[in-house]
Amino acid sequence: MKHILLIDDDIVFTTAVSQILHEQDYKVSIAKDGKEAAEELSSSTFSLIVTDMLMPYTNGLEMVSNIRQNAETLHTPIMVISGIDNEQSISDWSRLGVNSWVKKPLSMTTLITNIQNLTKNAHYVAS
Amino acid sequence: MSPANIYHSVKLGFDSLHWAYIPLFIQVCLVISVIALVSIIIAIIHIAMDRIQMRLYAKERENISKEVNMLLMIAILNPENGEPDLSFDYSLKQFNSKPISRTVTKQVLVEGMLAYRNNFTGKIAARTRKLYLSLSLERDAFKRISSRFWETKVAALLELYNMNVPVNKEILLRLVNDRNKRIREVARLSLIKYNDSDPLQYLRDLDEPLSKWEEFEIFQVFKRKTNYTLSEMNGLLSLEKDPTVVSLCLKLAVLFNQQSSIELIKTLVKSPVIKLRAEAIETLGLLHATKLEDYLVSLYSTQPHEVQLSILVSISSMRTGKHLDFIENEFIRSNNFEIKKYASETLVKLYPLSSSVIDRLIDTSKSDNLRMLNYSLNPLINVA
Repeated sequence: MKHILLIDDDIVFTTAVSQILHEQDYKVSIAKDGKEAAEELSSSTFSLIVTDMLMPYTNGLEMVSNIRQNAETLHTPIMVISGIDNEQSISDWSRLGVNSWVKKPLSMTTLITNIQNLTKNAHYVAS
Repeated sequence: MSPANIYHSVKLGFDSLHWAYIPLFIQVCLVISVIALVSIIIAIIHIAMDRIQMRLYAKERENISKEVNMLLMIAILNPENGEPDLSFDYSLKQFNSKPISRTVTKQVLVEGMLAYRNNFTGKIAARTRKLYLSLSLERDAFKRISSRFWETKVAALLELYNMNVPVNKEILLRLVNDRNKRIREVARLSLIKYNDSDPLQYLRDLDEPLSKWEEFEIFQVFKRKTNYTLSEMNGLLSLEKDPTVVSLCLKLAVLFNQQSSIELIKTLVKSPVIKLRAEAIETLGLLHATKLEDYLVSLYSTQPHEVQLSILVSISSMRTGKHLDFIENEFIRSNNFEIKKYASETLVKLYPLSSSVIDRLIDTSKSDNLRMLNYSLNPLINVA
């Protein structure tokens, strides 16, 4: 079973997404902020990290940068879910190693398709 | 204790203090001190009561939230299994059996629904709206529009707006002239959202500045309009119009890639409002008005700092690579930190067209210039 780390401080959103991903046969761990995410990342291995950009404590960009600097998570695909979609942000995310981004409000079909693509080709995507 | 007894006890107290012999000034001070002390005690009790109430309210909300969110999940997230929609009907029945007339339950329910609407599109958003209408929650929102309190009115309008429930045009036209700015803003937003024939009409009639929030929200309304062609913006992209409205229209021109507005935007480059001039130049870049690139570069030396930066940004957006020498020159020769930074970022954005210039600069630059270039290549690397 593929294990996904979902990082967002919006409880309604994380509950809804994790419920749907469970139905799709994914194991989901939830982190409310960068701190919890760091703890999860140090204790488990994930097939995909799905994260918001705006959250308490650690800015999303900083967190992505930390993930990419860590040898153990260097190749884990990262998907950003954010209400922000300006060209500059997307270019910054891509340069830092974000593999995919989905804009909020999102369609579940799009999200699941993106997740399936990233987890299927996890190794290829990250490299 | 009767009032007569109280009076008697107080009088005795005063007598024992030899009140009558105390100087008037001291008497006044003592009275003021007692009043102050009593007021402080009352205030502390009031604050404590408020806090207790808030805690109880928060606890109640938490208890209700769990149940409501669970039912919302059943109703909204479970896949439709044809007719009848069992999970939806189950939740609806559960909600109807609860006293949702209670303000707190209704608040939690509506907040949960709004969270779904703000986070999701497609079937989930549609099912949320269906549940909202099935529970007749819009009736309550319509009632709240007539409230005496502006916060309630605004919340009701936003609720209907987010749930995609149209409000009567006459009500909105009345509210766009309200004395309260927030009410005017939200009413305008709804008016634009539900006017499919010409949403720009309201901006044409508008004769007051837009707030940043309103500008953002109106932009979002247009962003969500599918299969929509933006009408021509004559009269909107004009020096006579309020700069905040023009600024919004510039963003809309980019959103809809309205190439026909390039000539109108060119006239804004002469705007006396520096911020607007800078924005117009950046918009020309985003619209890839490459024919005007030479014109913008020719303006550069006569423009104020902010506009010079926007010319650099515009060149990077046009991505022709025609003026690499000019940008390199600005990077090397300018003494201004921001100009150097923008020039270096422009070079990075023009990669691979600028690859030879970047390589040359990396080889020849020293200290700050090299650090700046490295930073532009990767803003999160440690260049110390």
